[in-house]
Amino acid sequence: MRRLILAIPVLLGAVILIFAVLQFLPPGMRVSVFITDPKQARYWRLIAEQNGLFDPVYVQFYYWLKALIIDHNLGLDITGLPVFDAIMRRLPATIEIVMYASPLIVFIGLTLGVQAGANKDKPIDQGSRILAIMGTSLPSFWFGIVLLSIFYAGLGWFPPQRYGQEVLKYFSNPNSPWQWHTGLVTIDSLINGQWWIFVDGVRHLILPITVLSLLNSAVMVRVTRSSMLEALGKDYITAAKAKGLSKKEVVNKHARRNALIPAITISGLMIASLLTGVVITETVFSMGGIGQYAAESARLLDVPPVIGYALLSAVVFVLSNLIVDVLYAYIDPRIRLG
Amino acid sequence: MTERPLLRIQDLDLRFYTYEGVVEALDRVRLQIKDGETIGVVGETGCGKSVTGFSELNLIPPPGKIEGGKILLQKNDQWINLLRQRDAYLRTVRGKDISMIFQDPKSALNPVYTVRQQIAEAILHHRREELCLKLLEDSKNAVESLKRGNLSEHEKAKLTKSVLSKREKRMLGRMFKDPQGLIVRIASRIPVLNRFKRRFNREVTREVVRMLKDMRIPDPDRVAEMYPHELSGGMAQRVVIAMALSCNPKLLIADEPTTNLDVTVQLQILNLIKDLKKKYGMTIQYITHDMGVIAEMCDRVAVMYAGNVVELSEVLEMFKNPLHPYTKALLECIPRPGTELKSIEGFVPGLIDPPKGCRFHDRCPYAMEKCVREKPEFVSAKKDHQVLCHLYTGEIR
Amino acid sequence: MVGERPLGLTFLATLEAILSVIQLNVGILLLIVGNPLPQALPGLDVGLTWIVLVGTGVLGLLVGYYLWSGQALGWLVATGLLVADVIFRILLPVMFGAAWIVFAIFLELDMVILYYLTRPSITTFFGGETIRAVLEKERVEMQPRIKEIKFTLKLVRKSSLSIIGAAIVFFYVFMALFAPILAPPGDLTQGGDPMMMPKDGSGLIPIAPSMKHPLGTMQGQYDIYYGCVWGARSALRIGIYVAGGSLLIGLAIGILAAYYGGWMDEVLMRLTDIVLAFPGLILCMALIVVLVPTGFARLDAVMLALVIVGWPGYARLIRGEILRIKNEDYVEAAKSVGCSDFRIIRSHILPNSIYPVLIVFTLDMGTIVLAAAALSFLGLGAVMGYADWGQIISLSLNWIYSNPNSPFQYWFTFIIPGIFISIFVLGWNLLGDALRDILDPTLRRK
Repeated sequence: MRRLILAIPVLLGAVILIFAVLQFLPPGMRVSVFITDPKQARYWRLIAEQNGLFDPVYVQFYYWLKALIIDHNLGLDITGLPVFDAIMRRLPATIEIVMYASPLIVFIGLTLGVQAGANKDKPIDQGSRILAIMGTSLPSFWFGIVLLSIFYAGLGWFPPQRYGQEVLKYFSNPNSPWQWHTGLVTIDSLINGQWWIFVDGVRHLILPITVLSLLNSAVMVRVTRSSMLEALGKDYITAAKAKGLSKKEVVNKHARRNALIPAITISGLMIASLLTGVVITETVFSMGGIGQYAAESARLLDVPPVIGYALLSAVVFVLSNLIVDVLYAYIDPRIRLG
Repeated sequence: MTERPLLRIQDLDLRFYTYEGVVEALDRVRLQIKDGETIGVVGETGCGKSVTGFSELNLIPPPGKIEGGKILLQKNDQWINLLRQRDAYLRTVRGKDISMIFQDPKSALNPVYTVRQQIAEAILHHRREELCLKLLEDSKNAVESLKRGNLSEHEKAKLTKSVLSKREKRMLGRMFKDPQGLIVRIASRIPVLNRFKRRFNREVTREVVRMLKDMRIPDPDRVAEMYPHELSGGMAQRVVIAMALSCNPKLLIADEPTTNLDVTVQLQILNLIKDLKKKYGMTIQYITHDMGVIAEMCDRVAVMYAGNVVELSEVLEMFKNPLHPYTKALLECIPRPGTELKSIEGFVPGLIDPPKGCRFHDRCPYAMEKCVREKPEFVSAKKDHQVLCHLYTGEIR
Repeated sequence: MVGERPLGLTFLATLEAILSVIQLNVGILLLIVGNPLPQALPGLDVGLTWIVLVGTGVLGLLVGYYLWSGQALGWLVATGLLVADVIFRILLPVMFGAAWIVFAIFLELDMVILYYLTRPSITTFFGGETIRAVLEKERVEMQPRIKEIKFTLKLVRKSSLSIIGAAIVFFYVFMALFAPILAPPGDLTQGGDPMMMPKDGSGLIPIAPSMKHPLGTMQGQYDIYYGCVWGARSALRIGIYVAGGSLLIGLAIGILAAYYGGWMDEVLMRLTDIVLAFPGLILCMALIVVLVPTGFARLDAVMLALVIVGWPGYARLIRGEILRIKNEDYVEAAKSVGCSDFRIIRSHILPNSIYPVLIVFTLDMGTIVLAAAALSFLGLGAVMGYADWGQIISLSLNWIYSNPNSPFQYWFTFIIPGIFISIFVLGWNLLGDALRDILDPTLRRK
């Protein structure tokens, strides 16, 4: 409960922070939030005055917040499109990647970490260490480029972007029976019964998901491994052995549960690294998601989309941390029952 | 108490291979435990009394390694060397023939599982068949009683609960033969089919509660559902004892179980252990550094110093007639009102490079030239009273 | 000696303190105003000057404190030290240039002298004992310390990974320091700034490695070899500034929060939480996108953004450690024996809490460089042609698809700089891991 209450001022503070960051810019640049039509650009001064951009700070904050929450107006990007709409349009692409990568990360991280901890210094442990080192030393964009050059430019198996040429033609054909349901290629293709589109989608997804999962699971493997080692050193492990349990049972029933508890707290951080990883990965593979949108806008120094993405990530991050906290309390009886 | 030996430790050598050197933790340790007795193992911290207990269960963690000797357990009229057995066999011994209770009860319990789950684990591991059979038996008896009639409504209701359907009997049979079988595992998860599992669990829970009641824990049903951090020290230790005794072991190794508890709780636990012994009749190996506890609880006592057993005799005999200089010194150190506090001069030798001869020689007031060079033999100085000291090697019996 | 402060000592102590404060302010002023001093070595600039100045300034304050607390000895030695101090501190920054190295040496000297000033045996020296007796006492007292240091070194030697890590780091530092020799700027430099890669022609297509350009050229004909070598400078610079900056700010805030507790703690921690509510790189992007139009140079914006995003980590860490140690039994024991707060902080809290911070610092060196490279890749970091590894890779993306028949035709544009980055980060990671294993007292004795 306390966590919930604490989260609100944090979110509020985050929003204020973004607003404060925005204030660095002169009004001429900030007025883009209020311009809905490129033709209005000539009269920006007037619009700025109208929207209080020359008014004191707190007034501006009020208007800005109002525009944000009530109209979900995040401003216009450099092409004149409302940022909010642009984000909504590109959201499915990002969700599709994240949706497959997250369980993969958790799975690899936890299982590998547990096994590495249980079999210290054996091959699986060495292997996990190599993975951990790779994950923390390799630049993700570089890894993506290398994989791309091998598997696409070289072997032609896994192309970048979301759809192949054939699929694009199919989508743009007004006679095709295709219906979008969720916006996700893998799901919708199955609903529509178009198996070949499903395969195509998977082919395009494999590389970005591999890059995201492999590098991000490194942290999880490390943390799980060390918490496993810690758990195995505790007295109750000896007591369990003295009861006559086999090593496998001891690891799986006793050590694992205790080891997973600290690992769960890391999964909150994993969301953050996913949010950043998505920016880079989508750019490398040109996946057309919100990450790429933010990256391209940043490159052009276009402020609203970047700010919009920052706000979005903050909200997602804070919420997911909350969920993790609740989960943590649920799993560890010491916290649940005080 | 019979004269039959239950456990014999012969020439046990234990070494820890550490960075700083090889620690000779146990040096040709010899011990004999008779069936039904309470034997105390007393000594200072670091003398090796705890690791002796762990060795009996072959639970020495690396970098420790048992280098030699035998640990013989009397089982089914045969002597079995526990050090030579495979792990699979040892697992049937641990918890069932030999059990252990620990110094810090709270850390000996897994914080994420309830009391019931942890005691049940021990029961399930060793007594699964027994409980399966019991369920089947109860069902049969219930059926017969119901057939005979002449029962009150209340009794009828109670008995019908014990009756098992054919399907349940079949599943229990499968569980009996192959508890890890696929069918059993799947059926346990499915709501309607898992009735047999639930009955079984209920039986196990009944056992758990019964054990807790035996430990004189008030309100055992509620305590069974508690987590370890909710228990007080004394309560936790009772739970640990319940866990250890749940499968009726022949030998209970108690590794300083009361050291971390308040003095009043300590007395309760000691009395509990004494009463449990009367009820269950197990042999107890009581490891402690407290002479008072030895006097209170034990029939025989083994005194350990620096990895050796230096004296082994009956309790009264030891107090009246201590033979080994170390034992004598220890007894003199017991604080007595009105007299000055005494201590033993010198320090316990480091075990990485232990003295070649007798390990006590540098602190022994009776040390002879022989003691520096030669390690003494463990001999019987009197009937049933063995010493590891050169002073008595002349009097071999 | 405590309680018996001769007047001269107090005077000297106060003088020392004042001078150090002045020096600190000069340093800060220099940072804000820009560096009007001549530079001895290209690539070393305002920031490093500042670090050195502030460092000695802080040390001066410490010397002042010890003098004041009466733990130092005869005012003769103290005066001598102060005079030397004054000369160096007022004159050297003005003369700067090659004197920088002398400055650094004096820094070390300062620390050694400071240490010895506090040794009790030295105190007795001026009470009349012979030098030999003092040295003998020192030797006996240092024995356990020396043994520990030897043990640490042995651990270091045994752990091959730590040696590899240290070797890698040394390699890069070497490469950075001697960049002007390994890859001379020559006449192809852009506008005299050695950090800009030399341009050989204006063709767009990258050229494969050849004699003239050992590692090839990237898009726009910038020499990759040059870029990689001088990139080490860029990387180390970014790493030290950002990690150092976030460390200092984080430590300050964390220590304040832990020391005062109460509402200050709450406020500071909320502030930390607010910054941490954003995933790091994303907040960086948002900050850079706002800072650059406001007038910051690209790389400066990157560094500032990374520092802003980085300090909460350190603050939380040090606060957590301090709070944990405050509650340990040995602190209570020390308090009950009558130790002053300062002494407890100095002898118990600081040494125990500093290890995780050190470890995070070394790991951060790697993470920060990775983040900066990612930002460069996204186009937010160094401008084209600047010697920065991430920047070199960012342009290589175009050239992968260009020739379907030989996808690796332009391998040199990304494989090589990527390897440089990865090994750099790897080195620091290994070092950090090794430090963790070596310094953690519970893991030492296995």
